[in-house]
Amino acid sequence: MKLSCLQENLARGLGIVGRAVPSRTTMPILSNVLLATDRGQLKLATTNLELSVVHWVGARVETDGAVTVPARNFIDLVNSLPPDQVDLTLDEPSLALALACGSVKANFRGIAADEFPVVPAPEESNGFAVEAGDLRLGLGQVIFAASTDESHPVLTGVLAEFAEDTLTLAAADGFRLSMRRIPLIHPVPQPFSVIIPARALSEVLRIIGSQEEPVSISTTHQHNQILFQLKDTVLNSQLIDANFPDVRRIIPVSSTTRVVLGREEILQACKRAAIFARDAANIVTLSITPGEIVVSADSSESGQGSTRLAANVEGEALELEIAFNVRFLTDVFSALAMPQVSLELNAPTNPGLIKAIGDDAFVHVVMPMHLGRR
Amino acid sequence: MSSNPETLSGWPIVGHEWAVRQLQLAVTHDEVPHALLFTGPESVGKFTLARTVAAALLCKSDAELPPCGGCLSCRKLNSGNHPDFLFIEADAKGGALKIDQIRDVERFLSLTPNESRCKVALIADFERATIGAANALLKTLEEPPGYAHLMLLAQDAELLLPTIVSRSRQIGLRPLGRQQVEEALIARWAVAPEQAERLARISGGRIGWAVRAVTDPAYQEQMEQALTAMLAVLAQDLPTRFETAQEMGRDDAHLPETLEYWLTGWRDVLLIQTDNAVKMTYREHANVLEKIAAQVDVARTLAMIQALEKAQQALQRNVNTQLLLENLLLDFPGL
Repeated sequence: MKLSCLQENLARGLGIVGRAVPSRTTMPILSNVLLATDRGQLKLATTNLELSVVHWVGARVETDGAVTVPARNFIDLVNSLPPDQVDLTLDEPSLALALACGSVKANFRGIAADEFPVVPAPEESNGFAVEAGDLRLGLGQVIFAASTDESHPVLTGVLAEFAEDTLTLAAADGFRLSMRRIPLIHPVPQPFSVIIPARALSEVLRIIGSQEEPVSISTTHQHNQILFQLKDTVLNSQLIDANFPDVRRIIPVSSTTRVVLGREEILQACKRAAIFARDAANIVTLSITPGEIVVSADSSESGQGSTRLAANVEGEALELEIAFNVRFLTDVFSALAMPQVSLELNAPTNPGLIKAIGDDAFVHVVMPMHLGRR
Repeated sequence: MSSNPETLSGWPIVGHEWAVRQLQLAVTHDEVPHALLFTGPESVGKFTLARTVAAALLCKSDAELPPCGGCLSCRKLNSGNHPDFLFIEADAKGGALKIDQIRDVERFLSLTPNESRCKVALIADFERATIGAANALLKTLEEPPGYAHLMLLAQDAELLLPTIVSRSRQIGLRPLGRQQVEEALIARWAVAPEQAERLARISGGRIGWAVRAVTDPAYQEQMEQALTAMLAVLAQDLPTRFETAQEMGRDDAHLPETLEYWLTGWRDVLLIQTDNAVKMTYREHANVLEKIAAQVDVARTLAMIQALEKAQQALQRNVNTQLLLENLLLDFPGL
């Protein structure tokens, strides 16, 4: 293998793939980044067995070849180089990769490329496409609700249901549920659903960045991996093999109290209440009376505070007091973009339903906290 | 025991013919149980056998009897780079198998395979799993994903939670015959016949011990040291014994092995006392052992053997090694 490319491009590419390199691993190969020539370009790949990221960098390829080198060292060195041309030359028998850039020379000891876990190529036949903006919005509004508790692997994933011309994303951690529909550019022939690790989707969200081109999504033949094809980058995630709970059943179908209010106002009120709530199990109380809502938190140690907001209250019961975990409220209100949100409630012990006014593709359900009334 | 040439040529396993045969049939008929529990004494071949089954499950060649040893999958397994194979063991130095390690296994198995048809998690030292860790594995053990294979290694099923044992297919491995170890050492590890006879005798049928003794000279030295220490203790007065206990407690990584050597030594004493000296293990030390046999009565020898066995069990349960050693050394007769 012999090729040259620009330091800026190589460094940017390594920045994209570098995040998938696991910090601790028992498999030496996973600490390495794969460098391979591919149709006149340089292909970079890393994997942590859950997620693999492949990125293509423009290069002038003289001879083809492939090798893996220690990712940390290689990335750190490339980042430290001047913005100049980088020449990479592989000594095939010893698997040593020589790097030259201006006055800098370096040599990396590699591991054979065929030891690197196989990264499947996208199958053309069953690809679906979504607009980058839709996917960005959907992931941003759903991922945060996934669990981080490893003892329930299924809840650390995001359910993705492909049916007709809609992709429905849902995540739940036992206390809240976030669900959003996003349109597919072409309808799918056969509906199916998969569970994608939330960590992988966070990485998809990061790499989409401000990309505008549509994202192509495909699964491997047995639905055991999912691929996201972005501009110059392919992300490939293992799927979680389990049954996702039937989350639609926990979405309340009716409500006795409906509150409509400004998203930014309630978000600021919650953030303020969080200051006291952090000493009181994160509990904030919403006291609803006709025409207004009071967001308050009370800590026996540090004090108490409240914010009074004007709100449009309608329904059978115009007065209600209910408590929530403030972190769950700030999470959902920060993720929404619409100026107005609605809060649909029944009783202090029943889950609350949060929607964005003018955007019926999103629903969020959050469990209340128990108010220890004496 | 007649050795089955077909079996021996198929997998690189010495002995355990019936277990190998059973597992080979399971592999060729694609009926390997989802949870296998390999039990047997230390170094008897549990890991080698389990890993061979894992290699066979992951192998990608069309060989009639996998693993082929040459395909990409087999090569990756050998270099520790197979993405669908996970090996977990307890911390060295007598540590426990912890719940976090079991969570790693769960996470590993909850994701679909990377490049093989299945995923294999091999968990060694399962008798050292904490109760929490063992319970954490129960759910995975009961309802593993279709592609998952769990292999547990433990010295004795009695040391495990019954709920673990009842959810797995147990493959019990017993020590090999002396002859079998001796032949294998000569044929496969090119050991000189006299040396092979001696190591086979001392190994007590634990092929792994014999192979390690061949490949690592320090290992045999350690045995000699353990025996010297045992003989030395007999002549020590009380304060010196406490000092010895303290010294040994400081470096307790080899303690299980040391106790095993001591037990064999006392078993030899008992054999001499009951006129069975031909069956002795440490023939090279017959002189000293005979002297002990003459000075100690049979009841005392039996008591020593029991004390050592108790100490071995206590060691499995994570006791204070210092106290354990002090107790044990006080039980030693004075000569």
